[in-house]
Amino acid sequence: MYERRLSRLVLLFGVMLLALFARAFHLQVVRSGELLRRSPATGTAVLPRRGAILWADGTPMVVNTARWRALASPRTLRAARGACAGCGRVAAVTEPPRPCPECGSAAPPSPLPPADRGELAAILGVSPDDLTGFDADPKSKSVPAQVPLLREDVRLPAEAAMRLAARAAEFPGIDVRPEPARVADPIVANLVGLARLPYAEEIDAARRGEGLADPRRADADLFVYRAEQLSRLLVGGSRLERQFDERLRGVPGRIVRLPPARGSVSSPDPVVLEPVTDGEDVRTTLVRSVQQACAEVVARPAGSGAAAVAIDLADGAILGIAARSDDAYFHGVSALQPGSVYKFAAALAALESGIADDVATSCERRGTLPGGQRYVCHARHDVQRLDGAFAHSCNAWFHAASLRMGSRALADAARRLGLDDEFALGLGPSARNVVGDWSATEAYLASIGQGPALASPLQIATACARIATGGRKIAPFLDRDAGPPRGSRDVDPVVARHARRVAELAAGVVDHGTASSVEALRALRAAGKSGTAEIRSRGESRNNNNAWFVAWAPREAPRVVVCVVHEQVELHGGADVGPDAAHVLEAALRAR
Amino acid sequence: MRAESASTRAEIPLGDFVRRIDLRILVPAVLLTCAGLLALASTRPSLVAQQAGAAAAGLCIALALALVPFRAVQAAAWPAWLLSTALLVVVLFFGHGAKGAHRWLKFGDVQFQPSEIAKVAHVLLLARWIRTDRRQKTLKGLFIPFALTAVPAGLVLVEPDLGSALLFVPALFAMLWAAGSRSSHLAGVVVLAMLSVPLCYPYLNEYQKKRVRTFVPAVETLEARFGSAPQQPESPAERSRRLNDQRYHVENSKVAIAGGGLTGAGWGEGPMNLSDRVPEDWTDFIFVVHAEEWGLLGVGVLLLLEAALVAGFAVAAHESKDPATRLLCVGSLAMLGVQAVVNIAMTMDMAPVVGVPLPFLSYGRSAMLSSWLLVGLALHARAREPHVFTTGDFDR
Repeated sequence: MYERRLSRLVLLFGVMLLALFARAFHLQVVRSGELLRRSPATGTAVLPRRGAILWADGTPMVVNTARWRALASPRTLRAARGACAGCGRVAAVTEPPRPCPECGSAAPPSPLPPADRGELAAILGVSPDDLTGFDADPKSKSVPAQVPLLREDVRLPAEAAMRLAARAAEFPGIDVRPEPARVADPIVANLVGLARLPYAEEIDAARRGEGLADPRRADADLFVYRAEQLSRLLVGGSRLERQFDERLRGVPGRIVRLPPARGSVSSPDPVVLEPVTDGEDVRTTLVRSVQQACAEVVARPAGSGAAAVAIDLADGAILGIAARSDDAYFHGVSALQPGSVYKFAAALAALESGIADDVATSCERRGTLPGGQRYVCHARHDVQRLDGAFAHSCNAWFHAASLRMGSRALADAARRLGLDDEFALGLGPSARNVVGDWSATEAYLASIGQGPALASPLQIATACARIATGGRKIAPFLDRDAGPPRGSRDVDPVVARHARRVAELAAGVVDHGTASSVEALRALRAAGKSGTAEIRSRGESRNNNNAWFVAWAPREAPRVVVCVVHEQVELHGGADVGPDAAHVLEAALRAR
Repeated sequence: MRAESASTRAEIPLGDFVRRIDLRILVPAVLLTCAGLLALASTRPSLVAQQAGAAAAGLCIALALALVPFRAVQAAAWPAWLLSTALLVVVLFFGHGAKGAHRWLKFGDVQFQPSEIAKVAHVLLLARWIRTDRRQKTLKGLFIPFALTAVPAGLVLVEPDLGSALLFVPALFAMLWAAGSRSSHLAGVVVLAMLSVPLCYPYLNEYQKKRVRTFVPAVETLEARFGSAPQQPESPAERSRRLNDQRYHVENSKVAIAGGGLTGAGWGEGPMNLSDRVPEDWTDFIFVVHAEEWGLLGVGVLLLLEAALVAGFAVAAHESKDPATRLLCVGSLAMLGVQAVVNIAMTMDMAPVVGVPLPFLSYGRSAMLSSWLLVGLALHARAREPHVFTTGDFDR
């Protein structure tokens, strides 16, 4: 029995030692990489350079910079100060008292009053009222430990920040530090969006092992940013910065700083645990000259907003897209009342239904159709068929056509032209699912771009792009490296069947229709359509309009398409917005 | 009945003594000591001389023990135990250590830990008691061995030194079991002990509770439910931060071990070692230094040496004919083996951090001496055991 028990004892130890070896294997072979990456305590993070967003020609439209911030601790901002009895150096009074770091004097310092608002303002070169950090109540529990020293809209120049940093010891509770920031070309600031430091919730999520992953790794959930990396890493907050964030962000590295060797004062090179991978530069399809033209057009001080889009018909690349609005949305992709530019869909539907040549109306500006439905037009057009109705934007004809073709045909045509597609450009909430199962009454209004009809400038431009290219399913895109979406070279048979006829209709608009007064469009050999959607705002007795113009050029071999809209203005699409479209068209044609 | 021959009463000639030194125990112990000195030279070069001195002294004492007559060593069991127990009492009043612990006694320039001596005395006395008492197969016969263990273990626990106190128990169980105690009796004691853990837990020191909570997070939940102290509400982020802080030691340890990979970073090149990221990496966590610098291959060699040492003790116990010498070998095996397993396990997050040194490797003169003393007891047992044939002592 003794021998048996002894051998069992040895076996027990053998099993334990084997288990230890297995665990060591697991740590050192199986989980080695993961542990080194996941550990919160290994090494110092080396932050990557955030990638730049580039114009189509490769020049940057966004660059990295640093921004100085001054923070104040309300509770210590008002702490007592003292001047050293030996050298007069001003410093915060500590308890217990410490010798002066300058001269070593241990004598009690001469008391000084707490930090003066005016004195700080003089150092920073700002008004004392800008130092809102002094206004925070130190006794309030809702006030955080650190608050901005300056008002948010007051910029802290580097020289002022460094002046304050040099005297930081005299002002307890003041912290001056550089923070990473981004600066964008002013003509795309609205489009590029915001890159910011992460919120506390995102950092907490990273601590729990959730949150951002490096998408370039096949097992993307293996890498998770740690909290101390995220706290200083810029992440995309909105628009293009957010859309391309995974590529722009980069992957932090990790190093271990080694102490100096014995007898040496210089530290050896740090050991690199993980190399840093800088963020990738993202090249867009935007051309600066075209974007400039779009920005100039939308900057016209009229209305609540404006948008301009220019698309390259070769592949659907967006050459320029700009917008201005009173709200937080990017109106280049927002759903707006389109007005008569929606008649492309109605014309296509009428042609496909086979009723286009059968419909003839006599437009008296206001009246009743033979079926009893009322109509209102912007002018008296007399007897019209499709060609004239399109050129002169006669509502009566399109109302009558909608009654003949039905709501389903109109909706189908709208969808084929991309008027219901959301092109995921990351520019914010986009118009989508706006083409529904309309009733006859709804289709009646939608046929002229009123009522339930909604579309964004990007969708209108895309619809015309599909017509101008003979039915190709053009889908606009911004990422040059990714290229056009799959399927954009396919041809829609219905659109292809009628594209030539619709293009001729569009040419008529410029030649003798609502845009005939715009010489610039004729000079460019453009074809297009005007639109004036009536928008009645609350409290307004007068109608405001969404004034549109969409055009492509040259009509014989189209290369670019442009769409411009001014929201809630007293303008009309053809005469007033046509020149804007021509301006952008000209820039786009030069770029192409 | 014991039969003794005239030849066994006579001293074994010195020339034969050298041949009877059991190299199966000595060689692994020496190699482990060398591995320890190598690791210590990497992390704390200034301590190598002291550690080497202690190792050399330990080796000399171990070899010298082999010269001491068998009966003399047996006769020293009770005095050694009483002396070590007295020192454990003295250290509670006059000892010193970090963070309020009383673990070291200082006489002039000499500083030592009485608990390390107590471990050796414990094995020596238990071997003698079980050998002479022979009632280990009965339940009553277990009381005295348990009492002889509880006294020094309890005094060590009060220092407080939970890890060292717990080491007395495996040696006791191993020696009793090898001596023939009933498995059911020993299992019953184990079950009783496990059931009493919740009762004993509140009496642990706060830092000991923290270590248990770190290893078994569920304990925290139970404390919150059944504990008397009101829990402060904590956000998930705060809780996560606190757990990260508590696990700092173990997480860094795992990362350092993982960093060794297959072949290691090389002697003196481990980044975690160089940047002092693993606390106590010259004492309880010296295995981490070895693993980081020599990788899985080095870990395998170290564990093979430990296995060789265990095997050496086991073979020595197997070949021993006297029950006392067998028990000395078994006791030394258990004491050193369990200490090594627990230490390595805690560095790899397989056991709570209990502050148990790695025999022959961790820095500590007292620990080094006690490890060599245990080796010495086994060498002594093999070199000096009398040629005695006894019947009925242990069943075969």
